[in-house]
Amino acid sequence: MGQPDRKGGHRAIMSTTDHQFSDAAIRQFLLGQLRGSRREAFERALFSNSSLEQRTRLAEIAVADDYALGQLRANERKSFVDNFPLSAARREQIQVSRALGEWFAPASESSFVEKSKVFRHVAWKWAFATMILIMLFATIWVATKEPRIVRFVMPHRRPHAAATMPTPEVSHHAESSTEPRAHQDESPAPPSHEAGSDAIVLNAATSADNVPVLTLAKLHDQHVRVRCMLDETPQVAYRAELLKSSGEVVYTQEELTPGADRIDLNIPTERLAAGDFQIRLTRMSDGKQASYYLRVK
Amino acid sequence: MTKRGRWQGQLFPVALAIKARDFVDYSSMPLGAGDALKLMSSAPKLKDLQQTDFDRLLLWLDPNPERAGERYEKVRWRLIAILAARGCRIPEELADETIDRVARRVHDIEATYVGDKSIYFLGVMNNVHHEYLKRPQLPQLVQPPDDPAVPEETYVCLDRCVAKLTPHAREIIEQYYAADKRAKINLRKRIAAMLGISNSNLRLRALRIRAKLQTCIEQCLNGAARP
Repeated sequence: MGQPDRKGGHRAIMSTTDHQFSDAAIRQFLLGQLRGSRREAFERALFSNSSLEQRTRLAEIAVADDYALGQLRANERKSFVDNFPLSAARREQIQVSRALGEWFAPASESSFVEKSKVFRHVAWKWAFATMILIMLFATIWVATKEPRIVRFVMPHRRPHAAATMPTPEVSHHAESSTEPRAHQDESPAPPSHEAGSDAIVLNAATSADNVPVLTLAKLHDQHVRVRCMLDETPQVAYRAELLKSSGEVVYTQEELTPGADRIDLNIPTERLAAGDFQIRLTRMSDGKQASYYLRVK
Repeated sequence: MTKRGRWQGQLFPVALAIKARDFVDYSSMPLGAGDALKLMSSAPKLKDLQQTDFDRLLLWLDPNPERAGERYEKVRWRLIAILAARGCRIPEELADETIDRVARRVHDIEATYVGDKSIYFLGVMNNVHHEYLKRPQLPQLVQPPDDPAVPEETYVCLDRCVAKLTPHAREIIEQYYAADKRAKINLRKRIAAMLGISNSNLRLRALRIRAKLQTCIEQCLNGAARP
């Protein structure tokens, strides 16, 4: 093998420039498996064909990757060990290949191809969360606009204070009042437990524990007779209002005249529904009020 | 780093100065700032490549210093690749010896040489390799590639270089290296289908990104190695 001719190299390359080498051939070259004239042709082409050089550089990286990731066949692996890691640059390539393999290994299938599945899962989560939010807002809206439904679901209990609210007489008349209190002790209130008949007796002293319960299913008339017991009965007119727990007045009866120690009301059954009600008695002469509580089921 | 070192990412005059230090054994002399210029003008030993020869070589490869540096690197890479493919245990040394010989001869051929200059290196390399094969072969220690310890600096540099990739490039490279052997072929097919490209195109893209990563990491490691 003599010195290269000054023009010989050029002439030689003209015959090999167009020679095509497959990826497999490039790989064989890098692994030292290309022999004879085919290797010589490849070497000349490598010096003259920049495209082949680029492909070989990329293949060099691919081979290093395959080795680092354990993807070489047995015969390739032996050739690789014998012929590849002979330069510092290639040894660095192998290190980087191994680092890349370790670096990205945990990502595995879980992020790209599986991303479509993940996306579907995420979409379902969003859909579910949106549905929950819609239901929440709908519940709030219903509770605001239709309290009757809420009470149907969650019966409201009146506070203790309301049950012990004194009659107008007690709350608004001074202790030194000279008005007779004749009926204060002599009007034992009928038991204010559940009344199955069409009449129910209410006492202003009813506590939350023994709020009278009226069962609509047991009513036979179109009216319910409610008797509100009074501590004293000045002969003046009263107004009675039936209120829902929300404060809505559902029934009003004017010009009620007390008899003895009570005022009787006739409340249309249709005005009642399951829930808590308040009957507010207002003395027309001075506006004094007393409250009675009733639970309907 | 080999005798010549590598020039990627370095300014050309700096590379010349580094080469000047490599040509002559000045290891016993204290070196400081500006020593490179002194070295460039120092008289080298007879057997060492003279700086003027090397300058002439670069000028012969390309009048533009940057392009000349690139061509030099390409020639050196090709020489190493071929020598390694031939089973040479010291491809870098023989490649540098080849370049030195060509550099000494440029003065004689530059006026008359016609054709692709890089081909000339191939002929000289054949001679150098032939001489190498005639030498008594000493057992060479090749660094075992199975060494499991990847230096921590490599991971640090990998982290930095991956962070510089575009999200799309990162996605491709991430997935390309993700699946294990069994799943890899199917996975790559699916990735290619999702990206609307062919399997070979995906591979090419991934390898190009990988090549950029390699360059970035090498520069990073060289930068970290410098004081």
